[in-house]
Amino acid sequence: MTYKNLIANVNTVVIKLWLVISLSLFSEATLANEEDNQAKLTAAFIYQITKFVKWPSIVQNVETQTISLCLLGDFKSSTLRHFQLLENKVSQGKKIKLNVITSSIAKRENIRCEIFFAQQSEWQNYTANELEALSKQSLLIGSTREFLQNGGMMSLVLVKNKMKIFFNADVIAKTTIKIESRLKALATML
Amino acid sequence: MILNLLKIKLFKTKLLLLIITISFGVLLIASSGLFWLLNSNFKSNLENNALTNLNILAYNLAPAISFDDKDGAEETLQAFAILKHVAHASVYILEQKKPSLLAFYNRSDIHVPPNNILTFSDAKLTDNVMQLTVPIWVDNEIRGYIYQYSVFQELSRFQRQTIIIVSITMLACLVLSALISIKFQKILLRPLIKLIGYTETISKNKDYSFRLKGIGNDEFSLLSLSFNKMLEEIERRHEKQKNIENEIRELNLSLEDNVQQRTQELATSNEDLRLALSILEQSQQQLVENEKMASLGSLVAGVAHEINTPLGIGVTSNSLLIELIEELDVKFINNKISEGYLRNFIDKSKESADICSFNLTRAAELISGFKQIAVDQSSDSERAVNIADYINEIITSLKPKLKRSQHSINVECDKELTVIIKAGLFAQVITNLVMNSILHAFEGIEFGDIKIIVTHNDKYVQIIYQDNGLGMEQSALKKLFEPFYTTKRLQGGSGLGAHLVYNIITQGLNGTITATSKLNSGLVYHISFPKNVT
Repeated sequence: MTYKNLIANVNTVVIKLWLVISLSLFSEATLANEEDNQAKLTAAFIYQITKFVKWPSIVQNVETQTISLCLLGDFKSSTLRHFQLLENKVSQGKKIKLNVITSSIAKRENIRCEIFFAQQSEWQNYTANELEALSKQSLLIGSTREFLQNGGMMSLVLVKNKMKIFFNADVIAKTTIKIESRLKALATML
Repeated sequence: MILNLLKIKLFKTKLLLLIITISFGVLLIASSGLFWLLNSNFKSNLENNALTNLNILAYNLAPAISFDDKDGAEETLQAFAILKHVAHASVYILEQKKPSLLAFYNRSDIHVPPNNILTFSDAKLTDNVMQLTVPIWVDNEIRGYIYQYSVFQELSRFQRQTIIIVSITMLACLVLSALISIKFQKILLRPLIKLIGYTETISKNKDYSFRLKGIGNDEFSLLSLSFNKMLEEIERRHEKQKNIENEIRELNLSLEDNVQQRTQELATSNEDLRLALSILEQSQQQLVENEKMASLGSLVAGVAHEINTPLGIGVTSNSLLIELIEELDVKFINNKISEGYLRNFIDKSKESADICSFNLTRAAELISGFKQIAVDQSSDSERAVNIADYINEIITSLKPKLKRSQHSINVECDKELTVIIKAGLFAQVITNLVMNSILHAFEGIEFGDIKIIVTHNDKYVQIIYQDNGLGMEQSALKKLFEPFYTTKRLQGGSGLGAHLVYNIITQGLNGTITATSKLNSGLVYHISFPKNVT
């Protein structure tokens, strides 16, 4: 191997390494960007959904006139930032109150919220029966179709950069929450 | 057309037309009202339905607006597919308070929504087209708008159908009313036709003793009773009229005789009047001639008087001269003529001859002047006259009349004024005016003044004759020129002087004369006549 060949091989390796590093960095950045966009859209959709849903009075926090939005699990600060923007926003004359807790605490302390939102990994901590019980009086929102297949109520899924609303018809039929038909008409029933 | 219809004479046709016209009018009004009502309701329903549908759609579009879901909005707008009248619909989302197009629906043609969609907030149909915009509310907040463009063909269709149905109904009703009218008019008009037959018979036969019987038992029965009463009255009046006509005929006959008699009398009266008028005219002419002769007589008297003096002086002078000559003759025979005596004789003879010659010449001049005036007064021939000299000659001829009074006559006249006139007529005018002043105006006045002012221009001679005598009242002044008007009736006044002056000026000299006067302020004549300057 000549010195020239050695230099050429080194260069090739360096270039390849640079390419690999660049690609990995780019993909990470893209992924982070997608997550951020999805969180932003999800927060916005949840806020808009609150305008077309009515909760039974026993659930609604009559005293404080608020709608509680409980985020289950750990959220990145960049994600949480978008949800925090909903804090104190008004929907149907009520202020939105944000709670960020873990599912274990929620279950243990039997916390009642008008809306529960969690990632799929967090919803996996709930059994089908637990989800059914919880969905009687609360709007359960996930981010995947699997969530619905496991007994979830509503999912906000990003399809081709557009947020789509999916409903589980069976769960919707059993809940005491009144979801306006015009919202249902816009959503996809599974 | 309508006027021709109104000229139809038959009552039954009029009745038929009246019923049909009324029916048509009533049906037209009712149909128009019904059509208007139906059309308004239909239109209102369309508007309300469109508004309701659009509000429902706006309600359902709220989630799509909320989630900025264009596909969802377009899918919702597809609901318009079943509404045939919707040609276009578009959904707007409010971005920074301005509507921005989110989704739209077009039935067939591409319709471009207007920029001012917010102005179509009222559901109002105009020419079958309706543009309507309603807000999309989300949680008590307007988040967008939906605009709809609709073409309601069904409105035109409905109107056409309604008109056809209403027209057919009207036609059917008209035909029915016509049939009923024809049927009933025969029943209704039967007594009337009967009555017409009776009246024609009465009119033809002039038999007013006829009476109607058996004309129904309704209003026509009352009419027949009234008709019978009228016949009675006509019969009575007819008789009375016949009597009056006979009387009038007799009166007419006697009246004709009376008229003939009166006409004859009038003709006789007219003949008498014509004769009297003729005599009067002759008398007037005679009086005028007398007046002229009196004037001439006066002239002759004046001439005699004026000539008498110079002739007397002439005779005296001549007698003195004869005496002087006889004395000279005696002295000559006796041879006693001295130089002094001869000188004295020559002087006296010369003086006497001069006096005689002067007075004879004066007499000759007077005769010459008077001869001309006399000739003028007895003829109507025209000649050149120096007005100033001629007036003075006339005044001189009147001096015997003035001699017994202290009246003065002043003449102001252009010495060179010579005109061709009928001198005799002019002399008569001046003579009569002066004589009237002396006889009438200066009655009881010792010192009267007469002014005769003569002026002239290219065509006319104007004379102002003025005295300061008694004057006249207006009532008397109006009659001044009338024939036979005089204030000296039975005192020598003929009443023809002023009339003669008027006739001479107006007819003989083709001029004009007017007079103005006030009581005790004298009388003024304004005379004007055309001149022919030599």
